[in-house]
Amino acid sequence: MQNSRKRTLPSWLSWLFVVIFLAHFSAIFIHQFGKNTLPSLIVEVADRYASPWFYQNYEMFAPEPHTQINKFVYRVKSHGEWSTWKDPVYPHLQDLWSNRFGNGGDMYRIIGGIADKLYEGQHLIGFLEAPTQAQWFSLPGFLVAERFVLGQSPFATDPSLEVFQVGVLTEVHRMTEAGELRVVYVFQAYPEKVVEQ
Amino acid sequence: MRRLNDIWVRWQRHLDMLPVSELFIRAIYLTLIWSTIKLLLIGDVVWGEEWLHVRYTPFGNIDRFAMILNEAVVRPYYLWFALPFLALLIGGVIGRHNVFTRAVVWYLYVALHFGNVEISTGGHHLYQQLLFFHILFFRVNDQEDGMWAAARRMLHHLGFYAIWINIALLYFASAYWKTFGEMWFNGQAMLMSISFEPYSFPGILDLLPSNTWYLLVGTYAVFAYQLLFAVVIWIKPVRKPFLLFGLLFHLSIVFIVGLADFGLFMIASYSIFLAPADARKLMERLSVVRLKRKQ
Repeated sequence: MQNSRKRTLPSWLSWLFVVIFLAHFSAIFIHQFGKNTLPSLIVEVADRYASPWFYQNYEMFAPEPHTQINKFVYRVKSHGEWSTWKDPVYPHLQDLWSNRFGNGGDMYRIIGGIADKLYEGQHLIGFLEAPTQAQWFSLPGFLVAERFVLGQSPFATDPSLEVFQVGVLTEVHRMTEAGELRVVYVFQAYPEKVVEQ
Repeated sequence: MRRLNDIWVRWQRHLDMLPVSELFIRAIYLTLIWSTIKLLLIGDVVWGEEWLHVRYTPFGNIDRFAMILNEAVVRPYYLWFALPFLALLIGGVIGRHNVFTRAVVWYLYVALHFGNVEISTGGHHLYQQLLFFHILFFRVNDQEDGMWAAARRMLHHLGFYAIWINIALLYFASAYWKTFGEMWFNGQAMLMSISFEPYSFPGILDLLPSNTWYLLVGTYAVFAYQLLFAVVIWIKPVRKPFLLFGLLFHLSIVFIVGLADFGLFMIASYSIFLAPADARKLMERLSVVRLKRKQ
């Protein structure tokens, strides 16, 4: 496979390629590690170069693995009666447990994303003194949750649907000093919303 | 200086790694075919009009094209992205690819990846970089000479080692950020990671109520692997056993943690580290299988 008589590029051109190669990786390196150490102008230039085409996020299970996960739940009022709280992600989790190569994990993460946004929304709203319903209902997480309840849930086609409510159930794990794993659940509900017919 | 120049010229001329880059393309394309097909089954939610995620369009100018599937008006046409992508991948697996198809594969991957950030993993981010560098995988045979052949050889080699460096960067960054935590040092990280049912199996808390010696060893082994990868991968005699550990680690991510995309993407990426002779044998076997099927 070798042939020592083959032509090579002129020296200046080959080194130009190498310089471009080094410049690329220098920018990526600054984008990854420079935030707290380099002048902000340099980091900004590197970030501008990297995002979005070369954007890389490798903070996997770092600096710590996740210590909490959020679950999106909802309930609906129909014919004057509230349903139980529904967990739309569970069937997809069952798919994931039975088949690691299917799309159950993808659906879990997509619907799990709604839960994360609802959780963030609870924090955002906490900074308002007296949040109005309009402020609650314009939160990005709520809007996506509403899309799910009214568009894709089993109740989406129910003509007698009157009110719905969404919430986020957070499962928090901590290690005790004795080395035991402790689990705590925190539930945060959003205000009820009347369905416009 | 003259010796350095000789090495530099020899490096530009050699063609040893061509079978490795061909095998690499097939390996990553195969994982992408699987991933794309499973996502197409829920395509309306992932990329289409039944979206269930907060769509994100922070960029303007040409950068907007990276996030184009976040635009509500484009989402109904997601199959225009996914189906050509799938077709080009299938073509690539049977050896039908060129610089144009590889560039299109990279762009379509970027658009589909950013089309739904919820399903993205570190493996997806890595593939975005690797697919960019694979554009440079020009095929040059031993008979070709001249400036154009020399340029293609040079670009191929730079792309090849850029992929090595980017995989090393992934592990180094991942390990570096872990040094700011506590659980990777006190050995609890693996238990914490799999203690949530979605990242393992139902009933996991009853099975593992506290840390065990094997999870402790596993935590330190994974941390050490990630820390050392960027250095050890360049040392030929230990490369194979070292990557074997990585293979087992990523298989455990597929089967225990349930992040099949991430695990399989990483395993497929490892094909770039194969010795040229091994890659050639594998490629010959693959072509023998194809020939036998044709007969």
